Formats: sequence, structure tokens, C-alpha cells
Amino acid sequence: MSREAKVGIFVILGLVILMYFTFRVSKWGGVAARGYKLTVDFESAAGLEPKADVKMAGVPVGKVEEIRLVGDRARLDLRIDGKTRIPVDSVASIQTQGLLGEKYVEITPGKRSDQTLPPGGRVANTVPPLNLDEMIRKFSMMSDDIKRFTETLSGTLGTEEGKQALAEIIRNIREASAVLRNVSTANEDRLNRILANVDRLSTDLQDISSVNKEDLRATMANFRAFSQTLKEQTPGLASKLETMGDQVGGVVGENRENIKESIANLKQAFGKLDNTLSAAERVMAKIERGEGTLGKLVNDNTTVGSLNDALEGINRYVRKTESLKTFLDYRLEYLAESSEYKHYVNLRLQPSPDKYYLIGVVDDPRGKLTSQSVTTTTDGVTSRQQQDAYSNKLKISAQVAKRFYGLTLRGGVIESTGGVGADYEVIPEKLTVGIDAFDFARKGNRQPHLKAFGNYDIVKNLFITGGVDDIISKDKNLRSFFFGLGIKFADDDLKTVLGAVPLRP
Amino acid sequence: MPTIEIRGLTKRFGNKVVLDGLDLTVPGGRNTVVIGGSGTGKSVLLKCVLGLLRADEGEIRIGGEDVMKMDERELVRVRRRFGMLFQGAALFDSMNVEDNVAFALRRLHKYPERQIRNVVEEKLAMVGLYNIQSLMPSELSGGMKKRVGLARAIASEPEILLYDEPTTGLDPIMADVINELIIRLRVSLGVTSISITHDMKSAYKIADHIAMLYKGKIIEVATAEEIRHSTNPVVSQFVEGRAQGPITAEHEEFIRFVRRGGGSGVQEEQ
Amino acid sequence: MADERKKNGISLVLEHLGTTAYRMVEELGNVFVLFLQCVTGLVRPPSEFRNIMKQMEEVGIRSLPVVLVTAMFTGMVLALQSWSGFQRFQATHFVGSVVALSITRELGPVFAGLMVSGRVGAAMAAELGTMKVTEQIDALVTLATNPVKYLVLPRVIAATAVLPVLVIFADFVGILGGYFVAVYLLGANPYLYVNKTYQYLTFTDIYTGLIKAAVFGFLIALISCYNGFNAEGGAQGVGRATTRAVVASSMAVLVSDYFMTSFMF
Ligand SMILES: Nc1ncnc2c1ncn2[C@@H]1O[C@H](COP(=O)(O)OP(=O)(O)OP(=O)(O)O)[C@@H](O)[C@H]1O
Ligand SMILES: [Mg+2]
Repeated sequence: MSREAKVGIFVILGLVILMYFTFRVSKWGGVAARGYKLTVDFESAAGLEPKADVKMAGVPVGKVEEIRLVGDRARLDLRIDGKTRIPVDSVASIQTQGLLGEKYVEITPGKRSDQTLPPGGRVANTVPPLNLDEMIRKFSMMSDDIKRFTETLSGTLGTEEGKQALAEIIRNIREASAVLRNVSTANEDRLNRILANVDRLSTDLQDISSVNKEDLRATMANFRAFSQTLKEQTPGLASKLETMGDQVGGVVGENRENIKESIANLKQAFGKLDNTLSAAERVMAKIERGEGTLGKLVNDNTTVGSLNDALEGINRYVRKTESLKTFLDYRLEYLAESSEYKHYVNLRLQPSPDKYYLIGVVDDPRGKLTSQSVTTTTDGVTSRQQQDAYSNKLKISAQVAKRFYGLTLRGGVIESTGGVGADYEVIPEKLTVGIDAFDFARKGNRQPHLKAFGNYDIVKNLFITGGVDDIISKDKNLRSFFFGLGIKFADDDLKTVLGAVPLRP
Repeated sequence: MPTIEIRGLTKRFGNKVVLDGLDLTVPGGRNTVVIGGSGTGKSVLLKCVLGLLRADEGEIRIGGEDVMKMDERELVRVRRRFGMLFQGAALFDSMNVEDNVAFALRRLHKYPERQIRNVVEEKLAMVGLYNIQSLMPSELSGGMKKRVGLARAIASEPEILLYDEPTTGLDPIMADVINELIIRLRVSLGVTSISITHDMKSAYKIADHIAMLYKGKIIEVATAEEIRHSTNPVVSQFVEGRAQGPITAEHEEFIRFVRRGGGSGVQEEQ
Repeated sequence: MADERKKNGISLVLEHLGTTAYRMVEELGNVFVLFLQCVTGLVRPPSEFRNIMKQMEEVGIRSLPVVLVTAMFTGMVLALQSWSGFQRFQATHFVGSVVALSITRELGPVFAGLMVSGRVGAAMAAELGTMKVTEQIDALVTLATNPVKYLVLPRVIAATAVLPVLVIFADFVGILGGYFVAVYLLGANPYLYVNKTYQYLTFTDIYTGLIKAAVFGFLIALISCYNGFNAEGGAQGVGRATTRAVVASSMAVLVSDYFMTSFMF
């Protein structure tokens, strides 16, 4: 193996490891970069770090890509594995590995496995992260309450009177529940009517656009938040209950009759409330299940999906004409070996960020090769000598390029011959290294023209370049270091420049 | 062909004066042999001419241009006209013989690569060496090294050649081959050259002029024949190789010691 | 001698310090001049492509085994040490991060630099020193070759270019070494370990390490060549030049490392 080949392999292996590193430490980390993005808002993302895991049922399915403040809430961008589908009604929460371990985002999958979140979607349901301190405080408060409650209870129930009162209460409850049953059966018709009304109402809402859908979602979220609050307040409720129990205990003996009545009334009231609530709940459930037009509107992902698609299409179309970018650059390279200058002018048409077409003109001082044999006789020694001469020539390039993350592959015509090339962006928008291979069928049995280069942008419009030209050439004076300077303009610059030029016929 | 004129050349190492206002004219297309005792500064003289050592005073004109006043860049241009054979051959020991001989050819792109092999073979043949291209310097004898060094010096066909003891360490036949070569280079290519030698037989054969260096100065320049019959006692002691005379007067003690110890024909070396 | 005895001790010490400082400044200046000569050599033909390749092989490929073994054991011992430390406060899952950060930011470049200054710096000084004392450098000059451009420039370019590559390898192998020790010897969770390794690592950590490495390579080659170039006398002089080269370049690695870390990163 030649020395150059060894060194080449050495350097390429190094670059491969470097690429691996840069990939691993990039935003995507270990997740296949093809995954899609979701967002989720939390009241607090305390303790969570970018690149933390996203897990579903404990299995890692992605990473936290970014954490930022939106309004007064923390918004997380999640990068989810391409294969993993997340139901729309899934719930996200911030969890802790073990008691003191690192934080991660857990997604508890919802039931709606038929409807999954599209890329860019949002996980609407979240459980606020549990704060350990607060939790412990609540626990201790609650246990205090419970203790006191049971103490009072035992104090009250221990007496004979208490026992009787209890028996009475139980009897009352039994009665109350009987009443309750009656109420609900009696009201069943009415409830059904209400429901029907709601249904009709929802029909009227047919024209509500997807903008309003957000409001509805918000309402539902509020509703959930309300029930959440309810749940959270349980310890407080317990203490209220306890006070109530106290009072009950105090008054039971004296006002037995009154209390009996009040309790019965209370029960009745509760029963009514309960009924209404359960009715409302049924309506909500219906909506969520997608029954009725409103429900359809709210939940029909296909409608939403197709709307999104349409928008996407329009966007893409608009973008297509708008996103065609044009770049023009001029570059001068100094070939150290022959002390000559090579000029390049390139026009780059870039219809999308991952693709471009390149058309260029190259003025090559060693573009044309002429060779002739010369016979000389010195000291009776006759020697034939091949004399090679180069002369100036204008060449053209036309290439198609496609970009994969930092790597751009090019192909087409390079300096008037077939060729391919590759660029790698080592430091985004700053440092690019690349290699060109062309002129495969070279005159005089020469090696293909291989050129390795690096470009560094000093400022936006100015870059320096350098590298080795004609690396594998056996002719030593063809292989050469080069370095040079270039200017480049994007179409914005061009517009500015052209705008400043008075265009008068 | 360029003439080399040296005027008032002085070179000191610390406070030891090696060259002390030396004057010498080396006519173009001629071979001037410099003779002189060991350690008198002959090698230093050659290095000053090439600008390898910066002399303290004086001027060295090569074809009219003063080397002493040149900066490094101009010196590089001037040095391309020179070839030098070092006393110790100074072969690059990390390269084989071929790469050594071809060194300047490759650096100067004098020939296309395929031509260089032939040139190397030709130059090696001129110094009487065959099929040793792939050997490393450490695999050569002293005399072979010397000859490879000579082949390297003449490879780029310079106008001026400086030989520092070209025949030292060679057998008499090979020494004569090298003498013939030096003469041929001068006659056919008109090379200007300075040779240093201790070998008077060789000096008489190759010299157009012989210059004697003594105590930092050239004390006599003359043709071979005139030198042979010089009336200058210093010169005549040196060319006849007598142990007694003005040169060794300062070493009387040493001479007496050798005589007493019965040491056989001692020539002071190094 | 008699004169010196008359002076009192303090003024002697001061004088010694003064001359030492003066010499150091002078040498620094000489090294800088050598660097400038390299720069001018850079723009003049011919390009020393072959020589650079040769030196890249010498500095890069030949040094690879030493650097890899060093990096591997560095990573391993780092994992071992930080594990036993972190275990005391139940933070062993951070071992991966510690190993990765220490290796890429600091230990990879510094150890590779020290290894290369020992191996390559000595070789460069010895080779150039020998060439100097056997007149090979003079011979170069007579063959129309600028010895700085021919000998120093390729070594400096090769070392500057190749050391970062060596450090990429060192980073990789060091992290791997830490992984092996943590996972197979200490029983860390492999998934968690790898995860932690890359979680806190950023582009900057890796690139700053590589920039450091390039500076180390540059300094090692320049200092070693300078010492070789200025070798005097025979074999002894070459030996002295070699020693000076290794000591000076190792010191340059550590000192410049401190300043780069404090100023730039
Ligand atoms: N670089 C140097 N530093 C100090 N002194 C030197 C140096 N080079 C030569 N000298 C001194 O200069 C004097 C002349 O040396 P030079 O090599 O020219 O001798 P020479 O005439 O070539 O002898 P020989 O015939 O033995 O080769 C010697 O005394 C030597 O000690
Ligand atoms: Mg000598």
C-alpha cells in the first residue's frame, strides 16, 4: 500500500469517527434522525435536561430536543422514533428515575390507538410534575387529618348516644338512597331531552372552523384541569370533612330530628347534583367518542388531517417559487507548485435546501496538455525527452447536488469532464471540506484528477479556500497545494446590488 | 563561464582567526586546486564561497555579483549554479543512492520522472558505480560514498563545482578515474571549479592553477609546474611532503618525539 | 573565576537568572523566526507534498498504537476512579459523562500531545541534529533546497494536521475504555452509560480538544525541529538536542494547554 493511501485511510477513519461523534452529540442524539417532532407544554420543566429520554411504558421512544419558555409555561420539543405512534389522548408527565435519579418524560398511551398524533402535533394532556417536597408535606398533613378524624370518630362513636346516632344516620342514608333512586328514574326522560337538545345544538355548530376547535379543546382542558383541582384538593376536603364530623358529633345528640331532615335534604341535593354531573359527563363522553356533529368536528382527525394536507400543499407550492435561491460565487486559487492562478465562476440554483444545481466556468492555466518528443545528443549520449507543455483553457462545470444532513453529494460535469464530488460541513455555515474526482480518462495514461479542499467563510460574503490539487497524479509538478480567496453572493445580496445599479436603457 | 574573485576574506570562530584577509581569483572555466595543511581552513573557504558560512569581512564575487551582500533569496538563486562534493560526502542517510543522486533533479523538475532514472544511471557510471541505486548510504564503503557524493554534485550539471578532497579514500586507479572525470567536466562543459586535495599527484594532474593556503592567506598561486619548483620554502616543504621545514618548525617538539619513539613515517592527520 | 568569587551570592544568582531569562527570550525569538521561515516556505514552490505524507505517516500512523493504548487506559482508570468517588453519593450514572468530558476536553489532547512529544519530538530532533552535524543540511542547501522548507515545514504541517486526527481516535478509544470498565467490571447499565456519555457532550467539547491538539502538534514539531537544527558537535550534541526537544515540547504542551483552556474555552 502506498504511503498516501495509508495516510488517506488514517485521516478518513478519523473523519468517520468525528462524524459519528458530531452525530451523537447533535440534537437527535441516538434517535434515528428520521423521527418526528411533537410538542408538549408543562407548568414546570424543572430538572429536565435536553436529550433526556422520552419513554412510553418505560421503553425509550425518543429524546427531548429542546426546552424553552412559551408564555409562562415550559414547552418541550420531543423527537420521537419514526416507528412509534402515539395516540391522541395520551398523557405526558415528567417522571423521575428512582427517587433521586434523572428526569424523563413518560407518555402514558391513551386508548385511541386508531388515531395517533401527526408529526408536529401536540400532546395536550399532561400531568403536572410531582414535586417531591410538596407531596411529602401533603402526605403528612393528610395523615394528621386522618388521625384526628379517626380520633374524633372513635370519641363520638364510643358513647352510647353516638352509637344510636350512628344507627340513625345509617337508616337515613338508606332512606336517602331510596329517594335518590326515585329522583333519577323520574328525571330520566328530562335528561334525555336535554341531551337531545345538546345534540341539536351541536348540529348548529357545523360551520365552526378549526380555529374554534382550539377553544373547544381549551374548554375540555379546563374541564380536566377542574377535575384535576378537585382531585388535588382531596386532602383539604378531608380536613373539611373532619370539621364537619366534629360538628355533626356535637349536634347530633341535641337536634337529632332536625339533623335527620337536613341530612335527608342534603342527600337529595347531592343526588340531584350527582345526576346532573353524570349527565354532563355522558355528554362529554359522547363528544369525545365522536358522536354527534360537534363530536365529529372536534375529534375527526381525518378532517383535520386533510385540511392540514391541503394547507401543506399550498405552503409547499408557495414555497417552491419563493424558496428558489440563487448563489453566485467567484474564486481565485493559487497553485503553489506551478505558481499559477486558476479562476472559477459558479452559479448555484437551489430550489430546496437539500438540492441544488451548479453551473460554472473555470479558467485553468493547465487546461490543455501538448506533448512532443525532443532528441538531444550530449557527449555522444543520445537521449529522447518527452516535453510537456500546458496552456490556458476555459472549462465548464455543471453539477447536480443533493444534501443529506451535513453531507452533500455532487455529480455531473466537472471542468469539462465527467466527475463526482462530496462536501461535508464540519462547522455549519463556516467550514466545509470536500473532494472532487474527475477527468477519469486522462491523456497520457495519467491518474484521474482528484482534488481535496476546505472552504472557510471568514464573513458572510468572503471565504478562503485551500487544499491539494491533483492528489494522486504521478507527475510531481501536477500535484500541488493551492489556496485562494473567493466572494459569494446569495440572491438577497444580488437584489441589493442590482437594486443599487441604475437600470436605464 | 563565471570567474570567482575573493578579496580580503576573513572568517573567525570565536577569537580564532581561520581565514585572515584571503585573496584568490579563480578564473572561469579553469580548475583551481587549493592545497594547505590540515585545519588551515580549506573547507571553511569553500563554505564561505557557497554562503553556507557567513564570512566576517571581505567580498566574494561570482561573475561580478558579491555573495556577501546577498540575502537568502538571492543566495538560493546563486547556489543553483553550484555543485559541491563534501569532504564527508554528506549523503542523505534516509534515502537510497538513487534518491540522493536524483535529489536536485527532482527538486528543480529538470527532467520528467522517467528520464531521471537514466540520468542517475549515467552519472553513477561516470564515477564508476553500477547497480547500486537501491542501496542505502550506510551500506556503502567510504570511497563509494565519496563517489556517490560526486555523482550527486554533478547531477544537475552546474557551472561551478567545488570538490572537497575528491580522491581521498579511493584506490589509485579509482582516484585516477575521478581525476579524468574532473578534467573531462572542465574540458567538455567548461566548468569552473575549486578542488581541495592533499594528494599532490592528483593536484598536478587536474590543476590549471594551484593555490597554497597558509595561516589564513593564499601565499602563492601558480601553475602546477611553477608550484612544483617553487622557491617559497613553505610551498616547497608542503609539495614535497617534508617533515622538516618552516611549516613544522612550530612542531619541533612533536617531530623530535616521533623520531625518538621510532615512529614510522608519520603524517600529521586530524 | 576569581572575579566571580568576589561577588556576593545574591548578585550571582540574579546574574544567573538574568542570563537564563535573556537566553529564553532569545530562543523564543529564534523559534518564532523559524516559524516565519516556515510560513514563507509555504508559499514557495515546490510543495513538499511527499514529505508531508511521509511525516504524516511517521507522526500519525506510527504514533497511533502508543496513543491508543494510553487513551484506552486513561479512559479505564478514569471510569474506575470516578466510579469509586461517585458511588459515595449515589451518582454513578454520571461516570459516563465525566469520562467523556474529561477525555475529549483535556486528557485526550494532553496525553496524545505528551506521547507524541516523547516519541516524535525526540525522533525529529535526533534526525535533524544528525543531519546538521554530518553536513547533510549544508548539502541540502547546495542542492538548491531550503532546509527549513524541506525539513521543518513538512514536519510542522504534518504534526499540526495529524494530531487532531490522533486525538479523535484517542477520544473514541478512551470513551470505549471507560465503557468497558464501567459496564463489564463495575456493572453499570450499558444503555444508561452510553446515554449519559453523549448527553452532556457538545460539539464544542470535541472541537476545542481538537484545536488544542493542533496547537500541540504545531508546538512539538516546531520546538523539536528548532533543537535539532541547532545541534552542535557530534553524537553528544545530538543527544543533548534530543533531550532539550522532549523536555521543551512537553512543557510547551502543558503550558499552552493551561492558557488555551483559560483564555479560549
Ligand atoms: N563550525 C565551526 N566552529 C568552530 N570552529 C570551526 C568550525 N568549522 C571549522 N572550524 C575550525 O576552522 C579550522 C579550519 O577548518 P577546516 O575544516 O576548514 O579545515 P581544513 O583545512 O578543511 O582541514 P582538512 O584538510 O583536515 O579537511 C579548524 O581549525 C576548525 O577547528
Ligand atoms: Mg577540510
